[in-house]
Amino acid sequence: MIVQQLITGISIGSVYALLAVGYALVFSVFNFSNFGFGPVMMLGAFGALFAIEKTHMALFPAILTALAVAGLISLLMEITIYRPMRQKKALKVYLMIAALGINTCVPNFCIQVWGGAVRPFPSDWAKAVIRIGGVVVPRADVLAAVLSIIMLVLLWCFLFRTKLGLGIRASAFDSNTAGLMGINVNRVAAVIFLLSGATAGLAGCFYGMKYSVYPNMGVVATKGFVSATVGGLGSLPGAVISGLLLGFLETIISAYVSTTYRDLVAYGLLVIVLIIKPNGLLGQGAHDKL
Amino acid sequence: MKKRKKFLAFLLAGATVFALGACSGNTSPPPTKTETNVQDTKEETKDAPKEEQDTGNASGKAASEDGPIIIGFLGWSSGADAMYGLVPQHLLETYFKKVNAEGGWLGREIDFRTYDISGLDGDFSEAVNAANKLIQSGAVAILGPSNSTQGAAVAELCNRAGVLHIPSSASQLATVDDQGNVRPYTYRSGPVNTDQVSTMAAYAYYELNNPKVAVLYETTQVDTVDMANAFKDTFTGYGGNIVAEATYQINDVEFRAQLTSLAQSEPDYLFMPVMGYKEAGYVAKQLSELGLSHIKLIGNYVYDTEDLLTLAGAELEGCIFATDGDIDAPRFAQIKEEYEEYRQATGMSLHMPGLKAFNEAKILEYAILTSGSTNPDEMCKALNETSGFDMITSPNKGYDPDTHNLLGLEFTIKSVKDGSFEILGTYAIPTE
Repeated sequence: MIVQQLITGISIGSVYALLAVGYALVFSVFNFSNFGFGPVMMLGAFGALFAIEKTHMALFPAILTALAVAGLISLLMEITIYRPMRQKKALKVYLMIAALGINTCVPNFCIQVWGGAVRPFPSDWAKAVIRIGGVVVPRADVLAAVLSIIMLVLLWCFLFRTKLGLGIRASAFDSNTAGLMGINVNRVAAVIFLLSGATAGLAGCFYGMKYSVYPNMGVVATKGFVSATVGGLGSLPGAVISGLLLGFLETIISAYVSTTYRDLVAYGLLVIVLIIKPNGLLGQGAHDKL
Repeated sequence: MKKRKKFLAFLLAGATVFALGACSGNTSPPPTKTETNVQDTKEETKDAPKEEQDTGNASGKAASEDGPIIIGFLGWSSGADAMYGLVPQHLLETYFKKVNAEGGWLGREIDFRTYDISGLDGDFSEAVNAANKLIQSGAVAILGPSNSTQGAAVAELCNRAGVLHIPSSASQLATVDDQGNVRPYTYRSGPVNTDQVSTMAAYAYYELNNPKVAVLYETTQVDTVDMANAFKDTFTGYGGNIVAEATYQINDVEFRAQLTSLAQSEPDYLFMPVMGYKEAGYVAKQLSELGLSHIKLIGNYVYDTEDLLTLAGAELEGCIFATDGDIDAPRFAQIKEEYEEYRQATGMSLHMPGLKAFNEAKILEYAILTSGSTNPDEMCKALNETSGFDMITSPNKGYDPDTHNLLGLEFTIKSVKDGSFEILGTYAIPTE
């Protein structure tokens, strides 16, 4: 039973980890949390769902569609909302408030357009499970783990092996100075939002496969934010580790204690972690971002 | 330049106030028809308690006996459970449009106002704010909400103000206060959920040969806690055995931890009362994923929606639940036909909680047309004295005066077979 619970915990945690990475990416450069991440994730999942339903697209191209849709929506948010606010020297807190507005407005708009019903993700492949002895592993979880690792490795390579990645890391250190040094901060922002949107799209796809697709599915992004914070806002490895940790904690407490105490214990422990390490598990300061 | 800025600022402020006003919940267009039929406004107060007669409508404008009949509806029209507000809202709007096209009630137009009170996870402050607005604007009746936490809060306000209140909230506390006194202005629009669940427990014990049952329920809703307790009490009262229980929290989507633990007790059935169908779908899917599809679900009326079959039809095979009627029966044919266009547009199927909310309009219609008045006490008198009338979901035999529960209701027990609902039988509420 414990092995099964461990698998379940990793499965939940992998979605949190992907979301946390998206939060960490944006925070690393702009020092604000993009709470509009939930709707981006949801729209990515709907992108894949419609691609399969309307055009009979295969699963893998549909996942790529989700990445593209979510990436573009995230980019659109940056260009039409955050960038003008930054240019008007808005305080970071106002950017977060705008993001909170998006987080409420977009799902409700989608409910009016598409209805509030939950829709099963239309893929038989994703529904199948793999049985190893008495342990059951949903195929969607295996795919989620593999694609998440690939995505994180690609992201790492991009950040640490390319010129643009260097620009992003320089901006993460200090975006104003980076701008003065000739780095196009708007271009960096566009890439950051595109990448974080793509991670949200991937998370949305996996969440849709595991559960279902519906306009309010983005509420799970809050868990991603918590993971990103505990991992150390701006730290990608921290985001991944704490996402997995949160998923595992939730599962173990639900199974062996009670769901009544799940959030109490899980979030209580997270608060304790922050008291002991105020910058999160792996976040040590601005110079250690990413 | 300065003047122009000031003018622009003033214009913007005006537009903001206007926009806020427009967003304040009234989704009906302002009534244009003013045809009136002034009724006898003599106060008939013998059914109402003294203190309520004294304070009735003190906080707001008294419901008018002429002009449009203001009817409020409190539903979850946004958030994760929006289908439980939007579907009945559409049904009621369509119905009242028809009523108005035919001349309204008592020759007066219906001014139907809908308020979004968030979803299951919303606190009851939004319901309270909406109810206060309606009471202050002179509403004749407030319909909804559908869960009992919000329903009891609205009932308290309506009874203080002397406004007729017809919720589909299904726990006892919506119509009966903490002291056990019936709330004089609140009338139920469907069965008490604990009665329905007790019927299901009796069915499980006798018809399913006393199987081993585990219970999984949500802990923050009074409705789900009541149903879990009623099932456990009734089932063990007959001599049945509840082998394990576990809980979850509102908006949970992941149940594999609890299901893995529950499976250790080897139950045949899992009783899972819900207020939103998606949780039942997720549990069915996750039972199947874990290789536990031999554990069948026992549910409540919320399972009665095609959307649940769309979500997890194959995984629900063998699931049984009690509901208020058969949506495929001829009595629902016209509603289904009229609803189809909306279903096509939104993807939301017609469901039993939505039809129970539609009952609210029929109960109000009966009260107004029978009493010939929109005076709350006259309407209550009509409902107190009735020996039965037809609602959307079923006929009834009137109201129990001590609880304002509907009498004479029957429950239909359904099962999922080959991805479709199948009726197993119709049962009456178990008596003492």
